[in-house]
Amino acid sequence: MTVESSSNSVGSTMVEVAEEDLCVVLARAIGSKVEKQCSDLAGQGKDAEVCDALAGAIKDFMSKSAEGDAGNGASILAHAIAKLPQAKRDALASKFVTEVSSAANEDVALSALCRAYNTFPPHSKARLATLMSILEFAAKSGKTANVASALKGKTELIKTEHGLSGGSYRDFLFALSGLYPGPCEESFEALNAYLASFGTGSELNQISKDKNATKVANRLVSELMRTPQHFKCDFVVALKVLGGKAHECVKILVDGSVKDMKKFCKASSAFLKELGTTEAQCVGKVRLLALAAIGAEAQKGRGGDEISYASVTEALDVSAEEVEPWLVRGIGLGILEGRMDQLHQVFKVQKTAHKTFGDDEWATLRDRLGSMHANIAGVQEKIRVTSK
Amino acid sequence: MSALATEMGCFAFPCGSQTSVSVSSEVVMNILDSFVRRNEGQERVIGTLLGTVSEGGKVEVRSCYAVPHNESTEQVALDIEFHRTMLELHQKISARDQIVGWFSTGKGIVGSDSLIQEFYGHDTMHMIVDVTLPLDAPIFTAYSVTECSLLEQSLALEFHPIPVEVKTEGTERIGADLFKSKSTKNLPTESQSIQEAVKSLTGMIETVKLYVDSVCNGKKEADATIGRYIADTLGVIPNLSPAAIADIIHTNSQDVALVEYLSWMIQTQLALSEKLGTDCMPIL
Repeated sequence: MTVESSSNSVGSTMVEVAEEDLCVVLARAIGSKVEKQCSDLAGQGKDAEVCDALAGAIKDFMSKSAEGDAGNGASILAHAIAKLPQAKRDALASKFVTEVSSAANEDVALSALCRAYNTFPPHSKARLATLMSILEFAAKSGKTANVASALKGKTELIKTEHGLSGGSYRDFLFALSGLYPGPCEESFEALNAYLASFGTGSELNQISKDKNATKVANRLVSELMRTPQHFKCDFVVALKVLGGKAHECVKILVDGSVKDMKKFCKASSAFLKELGTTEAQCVGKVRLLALAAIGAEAQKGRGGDEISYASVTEALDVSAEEVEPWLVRGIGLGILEGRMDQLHQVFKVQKTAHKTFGDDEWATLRDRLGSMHANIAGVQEKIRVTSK
Repeated sequence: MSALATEMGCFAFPCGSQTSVSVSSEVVMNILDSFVRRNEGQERVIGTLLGTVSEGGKVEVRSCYAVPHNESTEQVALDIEFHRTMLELHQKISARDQIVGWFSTGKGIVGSDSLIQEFYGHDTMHMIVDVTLPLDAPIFTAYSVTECSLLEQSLALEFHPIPVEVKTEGTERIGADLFKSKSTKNLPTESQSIQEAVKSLTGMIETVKLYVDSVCNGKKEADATIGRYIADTLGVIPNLSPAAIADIIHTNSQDVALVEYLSWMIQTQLALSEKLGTDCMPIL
């Protein structure tokens, strides 16, 4: 058990060990001209102007300096900017990020941007703008591994910290999905959250006006088809508004059969090619989701929770010999959990994945919780009587 | 031991050699105890954190000890001899534990922390425990530390925040539950523990049921992620009918009664053997 875990509510802190003003030391390292300018401005107490002068020269300094000095110089400047009043801080942070992003060494630039993100005060505009620049810079330079690994599972935390909603949340998710060039769980979740952010009510109609929605929908369908582990199709509601082949394809996964998918694939070979998927992948996916569907159906009836091999043969449109391999594949991918009873030719379902989680699933959950509550109450009563 | 992340702060990129910290509850109790027993007039307690660092920079803190110190605005005096002796003693018990960092009580980083960090080294992390135990802010904050220098001149130390996780073993949890009441005369019996556990489970099921009912009645917006999570959790438990549950309990009660009956018989047999001076009397 874990009692508590926490993240940080503060940014990076710099504890100075040198007696000299760090900005003046940085200016000296940049060059005599900037040093003189900054010394004069610092003497007059014009901190924002000092930062402005340093931000203008930081790109050249980073390009000509050793890696360590370049990163440390940028970090000193970021800390100085973080201490400025909000309006000046936001403007200078933007200039700083632009200059650092164009430095010659991409690794050093990315590291400096990450350090700057930690330095700018939590919840600030400067911090969010830096994060968006980091995502864009990492995707553009192809140096995504460290950033992607740091952001893994942190979407909700970032959403809460920066108060992201609607358009700003979608911008973040779109930029985040850019970190993952190929299909993976994180990109699937980000794209799914993008479409889910339109909600289910009247605001869902806004999706047709969104410039990235179609691109996101197509990528989501592509990832769904190409990755066997993905099975969530909740975004079918959003696809319904967008329409097109993507909706047709996912609708078959949710409601259709293997025959429907085969027919669709034959008629839409250009669409499948555009998505980078194949007929075999689409048919395989519809079979796996058919397993989930019959598993969920079996769980609705109390006590039984069994699916016969014959029903699997029919739903998956496979021969009797192929039933067990498909069941094993379903278990391996986490779509089904349970036991195979070869003697009685049935599969006893213990747990099943849900391709969509709608009203029916919520009602099943309510029934199951109701029976569990009654059972536990019975156990409680029996223990009470026994212990007397 | 399991992990449950309750993020309550802000995201930060890992910038130092450490990426996250996992602290055992024993360490937390030790730090709080050291603070309670601190010398009169001493504002904060500092000490050494012992544990291991994995390849990915994940720090696991398994034990700690407070180090006596005196500090003013300009200088810090640590009892280095005490620190070395304690380290040797700890390493006799657990040789694999190394110094992974240092802790202090308080609310944030102060100027003198750079001096203490210099003593422990830049490759160690720093953890701050807010002993006021605030409800609206993190109690634990941890930092990985990097030296900031320009043209080979050391200028500053940069403390980069890293996530902290406090882990508790199941057995420790029982002790923690007992601390909730002001006084405990007796430890709960097995039967009382089971009753408490079932009561707590009932409470949890009622909470979840209330949420699911609200969603079904349209009072709350449905969240598919939460729905899937609940369904997955319930999927671990077999879906049994009330009759099957009653049957299991009945059978189990009979088994328990039989074992108790047999143990009483053996006790009686042993008592009789002792009285009659023979140890080979047949049971039946």
